[in-house]
Amino acid sequence: MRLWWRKAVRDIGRRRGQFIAVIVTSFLGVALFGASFDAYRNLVTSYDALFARTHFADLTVAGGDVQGFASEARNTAGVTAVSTRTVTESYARVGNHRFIVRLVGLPAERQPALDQVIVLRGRYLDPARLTGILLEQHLADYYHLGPGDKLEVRTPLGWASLPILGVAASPEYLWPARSRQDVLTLPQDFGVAFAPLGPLQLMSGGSGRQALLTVAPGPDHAARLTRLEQVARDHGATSITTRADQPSNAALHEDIAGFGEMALMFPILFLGAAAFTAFVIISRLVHSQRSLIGTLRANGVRRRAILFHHLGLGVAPAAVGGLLGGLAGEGLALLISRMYTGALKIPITVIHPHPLVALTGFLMAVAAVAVAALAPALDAARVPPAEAMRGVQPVMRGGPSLIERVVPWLSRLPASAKLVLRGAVRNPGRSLTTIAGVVLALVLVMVSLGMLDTTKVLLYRQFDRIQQQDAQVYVSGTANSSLQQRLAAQPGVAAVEPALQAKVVVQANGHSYDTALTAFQPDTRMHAFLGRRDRTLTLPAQGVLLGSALRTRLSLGVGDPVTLDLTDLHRSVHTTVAGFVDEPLGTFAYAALPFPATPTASGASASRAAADAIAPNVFYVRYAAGVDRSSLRQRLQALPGVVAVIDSRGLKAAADQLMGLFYVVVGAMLVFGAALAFALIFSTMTVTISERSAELANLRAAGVSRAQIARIVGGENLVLVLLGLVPGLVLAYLTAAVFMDSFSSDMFRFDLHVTPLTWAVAVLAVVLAALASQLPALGNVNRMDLAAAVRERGQ
Amino acid sequence: MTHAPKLEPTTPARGAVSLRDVTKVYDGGAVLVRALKGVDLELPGGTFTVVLGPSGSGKTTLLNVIGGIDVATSGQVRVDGEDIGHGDERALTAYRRGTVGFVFQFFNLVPTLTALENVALIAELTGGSGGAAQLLTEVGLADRLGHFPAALSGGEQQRVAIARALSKHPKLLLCDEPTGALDLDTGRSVLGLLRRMNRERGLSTILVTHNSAIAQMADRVVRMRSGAVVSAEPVDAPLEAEQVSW
Repeated sequence: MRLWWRKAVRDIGRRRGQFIAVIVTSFLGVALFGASFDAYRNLVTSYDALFARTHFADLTVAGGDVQGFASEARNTAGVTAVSTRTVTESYARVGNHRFIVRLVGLPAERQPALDQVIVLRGRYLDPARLTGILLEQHLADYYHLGPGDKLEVRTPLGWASLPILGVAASPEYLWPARSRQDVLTLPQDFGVAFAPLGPLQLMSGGSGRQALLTVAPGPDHAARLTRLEQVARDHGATSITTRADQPSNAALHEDIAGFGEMALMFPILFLGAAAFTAFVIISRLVHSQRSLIGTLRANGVRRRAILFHHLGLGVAPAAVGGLLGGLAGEGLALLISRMYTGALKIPITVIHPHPLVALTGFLMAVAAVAVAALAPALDAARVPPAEAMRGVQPVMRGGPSLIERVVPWLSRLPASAKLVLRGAVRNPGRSLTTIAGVVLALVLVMVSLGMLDTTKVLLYRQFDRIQQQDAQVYVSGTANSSLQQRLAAQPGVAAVEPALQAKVVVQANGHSYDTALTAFQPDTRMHAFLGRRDRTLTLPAQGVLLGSALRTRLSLGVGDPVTLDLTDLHRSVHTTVAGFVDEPLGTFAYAALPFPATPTASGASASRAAADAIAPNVFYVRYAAGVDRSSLRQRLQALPGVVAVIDSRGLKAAADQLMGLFYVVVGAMLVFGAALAFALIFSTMTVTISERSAELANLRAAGVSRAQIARIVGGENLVLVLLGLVPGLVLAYLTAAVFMDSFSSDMFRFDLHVTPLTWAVAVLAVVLAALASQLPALGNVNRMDLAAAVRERGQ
Repeated sequence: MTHAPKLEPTTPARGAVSLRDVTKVYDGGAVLVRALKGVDLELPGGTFTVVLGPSGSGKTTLLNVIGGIDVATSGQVRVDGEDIGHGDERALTAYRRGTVGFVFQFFNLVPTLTALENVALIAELTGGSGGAAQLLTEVGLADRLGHFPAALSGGEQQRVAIARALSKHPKLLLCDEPTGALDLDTGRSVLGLLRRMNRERGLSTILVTHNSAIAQMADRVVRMRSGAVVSAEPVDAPLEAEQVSW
């Protein structure tokens, strides 16, 4: 057995480049699988631990008879806890900067039963200091506020300076999203604070009441939740949010779902490449050693021993790669998990190595390669002793290539061109492997470049085409004409329009959806309404435009009736759907001022309609080109009647900064893709060269130069690469589209966009990798021992 | 027994080979292998020479050195007066392109090209003047032009290899055990073809073999043993190929 193993080791050693390719692709597949899957598990476990510790609510209900719902819920089987609270929004001020602040009511004496907070610095609320508040950590960190500082908050009685008792983290604001529609809010525009419940209820005048509850886990959990949602609707609830739909939770799970998808994609790509490579190498090895195998069989070596020997030649490098990859994956997962939880400031992190994941990755690598190596190993085991001992080599049956049969005029090509064409496909299995390498590499490259293009287009579409305003100016009272004139008179202001913003629940066909309504003046220049395929829609005088996600969520079509519950204004508007807009960020409702519109009216009807209209409550402002945005913002904020000015371009600026990180990720993916193509094509090229050494040596002996040989061999490789490009680009595009679509929801719409440059870069990257991969093989051709090679039997 | 008449070649004789004190040493790591030991040899142009010797005698190495596949460690190798023993890779490639045609034991045709294409390929790649079909007709394969190697017999494949070697109009045809993979009758026909090409074209032909029977058809026989030339003598009355038997 010792010599048997020595043979195996030497066989591997003689082809170490090819077997290293198997090791590398196995390593990458397992490492990236482990890193993504473990990171995913660590993050999910961290979230679960945090939610358990803080008793994160399963259901949050607002609007209607909250108290009545809470009472009924307490008496419902399966409900483990119920609490009520008040949540309201106002404005806050730090120095000259004003922003929207959400105030969440908590009992001052103790933590609430549900949706508790984790105090990170300072202390919890104090019943002896009912003006004291807690700041949510993102707000505190952005403005460098902490215990002992104060936050000015606008109350019905004016600005109040509230002492900060502590800084806290909340399961509802791990991602501090203002709403499901405003997932990407900046800390300079929106923050959260926790205030004693009693004073907050007084401040809100009784509005903003919410009921929270948790349901016992188990098989009935989902059904119980569904029943409770109906109960809430029966009590007139206008907003019903499950834990899954809670904006912060939903946004984070969309994010970490990406890890889960990568945990699936990477092993498929890389372990597939390892399997292909092993198949090619071991097939060739068996072929070249047929007479040896026959001799062994003739001398009584069992088929099983031959089988396992050749199987082992594939499994061994996969095992090495898998083992190293498993270890590396665990390390990477720990790193990624720490970086991610640190960046998101998740207060409870559960980061563990998962040996089982590493083992799974290892077994996947071994299994993938074992399956691929099985066919040639069985072939080896079936070599008949007599035939192989006579040294009879299967002679390749020649023939015109398929493309020559399809395109007959190709038969007029010179012999050297036909050599290239037929040489490319002389071994179908190997040709498919090269093509597979091209296809897999293109998938990896296109998915990452496609993400980049899509994100850039998304940002452009949202911030350059759809959102036209530079700022939103929030006022006390209504957005009246005199304030509009004062705003317009400010140097640097190019245009001012009043608008109405309101929280709204869109109801239709027994379903409802929480969102926001914005009503613009009919000829608004502050917002473009883009429908399918970028078709420009007009803001309708009657009816509403809805985000396209509501087409399926609420089973709506153009012209269908729909009810808009303006929850804060305690009004319901019955109207019709005038159209659907395709917007990358959020699912909103849009209408024209005056809102609500009434059917054409005149005289007294017209006056009544005007009185029924809801007054605008915000101004949309466009700045002149080149203006100092920061100083203009300060001047606008200083105007009487202005409560806060939100910079609408701030988010785009932040997103543009994040793109830098994105480029790093894409760069890494490009490298992985190139490595994938390189490994596969390198293996097939070196095997092909060794198989044809006699044939190529004869050409060299006949006076054909190295450069000519290189062109022939390189040309065959290029034919295969080109053959792989078309299906590769198609499959890559489809994969990228599915991948992007998996991130799409009512919060984000990722319609895949791929620029012509991206197509070109993807093709170029793979072609360059393919050309580079053949260099080692061509080096072998140049170093060929002609004297020995010309005396080999051709194959 | 009929002896082959000494015919005058239809073209002027070419490919005269001269070796002076040629040595070839292979460095095998722990051991130095002296494949050629001070070989002196003169082969006139246009002759049909058989190099005989047992395995390990250096006959294949001699062929490699004359053919420019290998480079002598020392000594002088001239073909038609041109020193080919000290050129770099590019020079040797050019020498093989313009001067030498090879025929090997295992044919080594390109399996994906037809007989015609195999011959045409070399002409294309080495700037030859073509005439593949005519060459194949000359070697008796007029009705096999479109056949792939898998559909040809061993003898037919070797004929294609000979036509391929001739497609460059070489001065020197070097054959390494050309009948080694063939049966008696097929081998005779291939030998006959080689002899005919030698006579008709005035083409110097050097055939390396361990089969001493083949030496009977040569103009000159060189015997080698242990890297040295033991003898190099003309054959007075060479036989025709069909008369040779082994």
